[in-house]
Amino acid sequence: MAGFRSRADELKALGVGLYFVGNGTPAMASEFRDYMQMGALPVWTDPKRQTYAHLGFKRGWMTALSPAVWKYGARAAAAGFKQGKQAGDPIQQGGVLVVKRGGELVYGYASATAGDHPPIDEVMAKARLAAQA
Amino acid sequence: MTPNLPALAPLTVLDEQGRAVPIGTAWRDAPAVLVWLRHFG
Repeated sequence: MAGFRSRADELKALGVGLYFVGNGTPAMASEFRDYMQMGALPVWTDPKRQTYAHLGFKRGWMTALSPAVWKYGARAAAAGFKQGKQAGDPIQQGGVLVVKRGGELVYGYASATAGDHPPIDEVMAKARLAAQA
Repeated sequence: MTPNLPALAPLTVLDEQGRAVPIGTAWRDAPAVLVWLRHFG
């Protein structure tokens, strides 16, 4: 998911904000920014996972240990991404929202398992739609 | 997924300084892509 940072300039040019939300401490968010070279991108954290729960993002050991996870891990490694020190809840899954200014939903994606991410190009297409409104 | 954004908007997250920020701040003034991570790392 951190791979979205590679499209940050494109989103900025569209006038679309890019926000990362994790679930550790604020200090972990800060370390993550440095480690992932996030620059000025906002990195927020939701230690109580209220937003995760509200959005219905999955949580459970089966989501972290399914066979698909190994495949996704190999794909990420082949693309040059490696997982650093894990900081947060290991069995919590994430997701992506694209929202128009003012709060109209354009796109939502909830990861089924670790490593299950929406195609970045699909998200970018939705971001362009959101920017037109 | 069919999130209820008006209900989501006031829920607060923390910035790196530990200040509470309503998540809806992200889309208040501009469109936004929000990426919820499994964990930092």
